[in-house]
Amino acid sequence: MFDNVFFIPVFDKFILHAPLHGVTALVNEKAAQELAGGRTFAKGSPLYEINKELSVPAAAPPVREGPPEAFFLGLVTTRNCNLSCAYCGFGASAAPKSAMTLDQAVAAVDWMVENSLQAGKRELNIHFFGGEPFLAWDLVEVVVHKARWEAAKHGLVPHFETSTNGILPEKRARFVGDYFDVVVLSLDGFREYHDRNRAMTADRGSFEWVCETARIWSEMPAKLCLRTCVTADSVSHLEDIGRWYCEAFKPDTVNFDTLQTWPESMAAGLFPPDPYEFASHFVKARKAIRAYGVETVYAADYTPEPRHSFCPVGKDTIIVTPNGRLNNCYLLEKDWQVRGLDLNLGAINNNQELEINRDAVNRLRKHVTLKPSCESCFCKWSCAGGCHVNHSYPNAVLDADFCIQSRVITACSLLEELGELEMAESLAAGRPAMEALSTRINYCEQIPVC
Amino acid sequence: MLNHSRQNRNASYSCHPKVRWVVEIDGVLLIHHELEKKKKLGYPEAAVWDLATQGFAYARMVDLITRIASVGFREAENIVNGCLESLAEQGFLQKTE
Repeated sequence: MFDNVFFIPVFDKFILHAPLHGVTALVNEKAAQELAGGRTFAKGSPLYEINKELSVPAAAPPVREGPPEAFFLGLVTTRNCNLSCAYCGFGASAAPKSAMTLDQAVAAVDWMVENSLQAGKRELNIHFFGGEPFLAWDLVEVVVHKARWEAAKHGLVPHFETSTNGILPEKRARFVGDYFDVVVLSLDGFREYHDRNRAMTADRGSFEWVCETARIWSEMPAKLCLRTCVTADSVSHLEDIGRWYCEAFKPDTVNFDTLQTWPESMAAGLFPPDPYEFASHFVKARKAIRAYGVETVYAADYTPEPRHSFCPVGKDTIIVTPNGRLNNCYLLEKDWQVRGLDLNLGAINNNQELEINRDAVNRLRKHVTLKPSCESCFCKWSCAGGCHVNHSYPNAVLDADFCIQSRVITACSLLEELGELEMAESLAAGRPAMEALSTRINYCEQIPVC
Repeated sequence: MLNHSRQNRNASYSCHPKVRWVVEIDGVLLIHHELEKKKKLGYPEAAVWDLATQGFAYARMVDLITRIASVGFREAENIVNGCLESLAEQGFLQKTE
C-alpha cells in the first residue's frame, strides 16, 4: 500500500488521487484493486508509470520552522458593524464601538514591513477584517498610505485585501476600489435572501446599497469577490444567483460557502443547506459562472498545492485585534477558547512593540498538522480539516455535513481537472452516487472486490 | 510657515473639476484635462492629496500625516501646507476659505 494515495469511488470507476505525488487519474475497478494491492506492473503497461510515480515516497508540505514569517498581517480594525445580520456569530451589532488605535496600527505595519524584508518576500500583504473594517476609516487611511509608502521605500509590492459588507459612502468605496487589490463583498444573492439575512435595521435591508457598491467596484481596479452565505432557502437558486452576479456586476470571483450555525442564526430561522443539495447546486453554479469567465470558490475545495491549513492558522499569520492582541485567527477569542484552543500569539505592548510568543507560533505550526479524524480522507491535503475552530478543533467529531459537501465538491473538481466534465455533472446530479462517494470512512484501504 | 498653517486651518481644498487621478504603486498620477498637464505625486504628497480630496479637515489631515510619515506635529504641518499650497498653485486643487 502507498502512503497518501486515495481511491474515490465514482460510479463504476475510481479517482486515484495522490495529492503529495501530484498524481490524479481515473481508473477502473480492476486497475484500482491492482494499484491498491501493491501489484507490480510490466514496463509498457498503462499502470506502470502511475505505479512508478506512486512508489516514490512523497513528502508532506514542510512544517514551518525558524522565526515567524507572517503569511499576512490581519487588522481587525473594529468589532463594531453597521449591519444587523440575522446570522452574525460575531456579536457585531452589540460589539463595542471602539477601534484599534492608530499607534497600534502603525506599529503593526512597521513590524510587517520588517518581517516581510527579513523573510525575503516581494509583497507587503495586509488584510482587513471586522466587524465592518471600514467603520474605522481614519485607521484604514493611515494603514494604506503608511504601508504603500514603506513598500515604495523598500522595494516591496503592497497588497491589500478586505472583507466588507459594502455599506460605505461612494467616496470611500472609490478609495477602496483604487487602493485595494482584492475586495470580498458579502452579497447573499437576490433581494429576498440578502435583505432577510443582512438587514441594516429591523425594517430596512441593505440590498440596494450593497448592489450600488458592487457596481462601483465592478468598474475599478480592485478584484471583486462576491461572497454568498448559502442557506437552506437560497441553495436551490445558486445557478441563477451566479448568472445574475455575472450579468449585473463584474466579479473576478464568486464565493459560495454554507451558513455556519450560531444561536443567532437558529433564532432567526436560518439553517444551513442539505450538504448534498449544496454540493450539487455549487457544481452546477460553477459551470454556469464559468461561462462568463468567472471563477467560483468554495473555501474547502481542491487546491493543487497540498496544505496543512485552509485558513490563516498555522501560517504565522499575525491578526491584530482592536484591543491590541495578536492572534492567529480573526474569530472571537471566546469562540476558540470554548473549543479548548489557544490561538493567541502575543500582544502589542505599551511601547507599541509587537511581542510575539515564539513558543505559541511553533505550537500552532504543529497543531495544524495533527488532525487524526482526517487521516484517511482524500480531502486531507486541500480541505485540511476546514476551520480549526468550527470543524477540526481538538477532539472534534467532524461535522458530517461539512465533510460530505467538501468531498463531493473536491471529487467533482478532480474530475473537471481530468477533463471529465460530464462525469462531474452526473456525479453532482445524483444523490446515490454522491452518498457512495462521501460517506466512506477510509479512502486508502484496499478496494473491495465487487 | 506658521502663517501658512493658520491660513490652511480655516481653508478647505477640493479637487479641480477637470482633474482626474490614477493610483499607482508608489503614489498618484494627477491628470489635469483643462491645463493638459500631468503630475506624479510620490509619498507623502500622495497621502495628502488623498486626504484632501476625501474631505478631511486640516487638523485631522495633519494628525494622520504624523502617523503616516512618523513625524512630529510641526513637520506634519509643513508637509501638509507645502503640498496643499503647491497643488493649489498648480491648479490641481481648489482652495475655498
